[in-house]
Amino acid sequence: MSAEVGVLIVEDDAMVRGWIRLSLRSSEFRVIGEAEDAARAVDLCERRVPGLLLVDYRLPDMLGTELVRELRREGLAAPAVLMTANTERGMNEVAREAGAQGTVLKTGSAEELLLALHLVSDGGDSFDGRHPKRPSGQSALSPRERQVLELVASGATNREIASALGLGAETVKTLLARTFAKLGARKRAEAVSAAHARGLL
Amino acid sequence: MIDEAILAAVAHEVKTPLAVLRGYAELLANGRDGRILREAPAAILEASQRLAPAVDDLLLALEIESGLETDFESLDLAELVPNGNETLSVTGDARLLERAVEILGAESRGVSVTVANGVATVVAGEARRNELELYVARLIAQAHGGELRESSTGLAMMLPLA
Repeated sequence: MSAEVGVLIVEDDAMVRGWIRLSLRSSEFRVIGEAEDAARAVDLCERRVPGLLLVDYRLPDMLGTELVRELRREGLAAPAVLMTANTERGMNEVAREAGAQGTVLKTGSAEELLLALHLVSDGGDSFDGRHPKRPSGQSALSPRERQVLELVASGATNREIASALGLGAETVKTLLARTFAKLGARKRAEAVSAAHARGLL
Repeated sequence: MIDEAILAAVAHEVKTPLAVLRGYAELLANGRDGRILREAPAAILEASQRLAPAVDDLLLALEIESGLETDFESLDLAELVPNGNETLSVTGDARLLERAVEILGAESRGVSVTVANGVATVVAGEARRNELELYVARLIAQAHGGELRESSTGLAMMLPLA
């Protein structure tokens, strides 16, 4: 028998949380906390130490990918699995980029859920192959492009971005143009909005 | 046409209760312990109660999107949205308009209507609406030559008067 793994469930739907709780009951996974939104999840992660995160992609206050990214920035190393109700194009790529180790579809199959949790808790990954791949035109943002976009989202001007990142103004312009092209955006607000929608920020 | 983001949100509204139904059915089939037997009936009931209107809305959306003949007739919008004694003549489908008004918040603090320049604006009440409901309300407004507007102050459906 494997050691118990403490799971934090982050899911806004009480019905789904109830099903997950019951599905994990006879396994080595023990639910150590439940959060209905990202803010509560961050709070719980500070007070308890989850061995695994099971995170809904569509949370009321942010995307699950944003939450995983935030928790990774804060140093949480526990593997994370993102849940979605339906297949979404590019989901595996954005989940991986956010720092998650897997994705699972909420189909109601306890077997699928447990298999994904077993694989990631054993140090592997488990990305559901039913999510269509991201179109080739929509490549991921590079770390630098993401930094620039984060500063754009915070309201920084090109000059401020250049200063904050130690770059030249022309380099910032180039990075912005490349980022806009990847996101299919024409304006700064459109780029930020598109990046949020795809879980890239 | 429906865009990808709305489609994902709509699928979420339909598939989540469906997954819960399947999940509890599996649990019941595999092991009837006390806790499952206690929790399953309420969860199954709640999931089915959420699924039914979502499927109805989806069928309504398909019906409108497919351009099927809707049952347009002369109606008094004031019968759906009280506006004193004033008659608000519109040409529309009573079944569709009734659903739109319901989505706009009839169950909570109700909706109100104002009239200006030949347009009736149905102002939303406070209600929790999902993406599918908003999508359907928008389709219904458009099918009646109107529009649904979302702003920082709330939600409003604008319909031309006959």
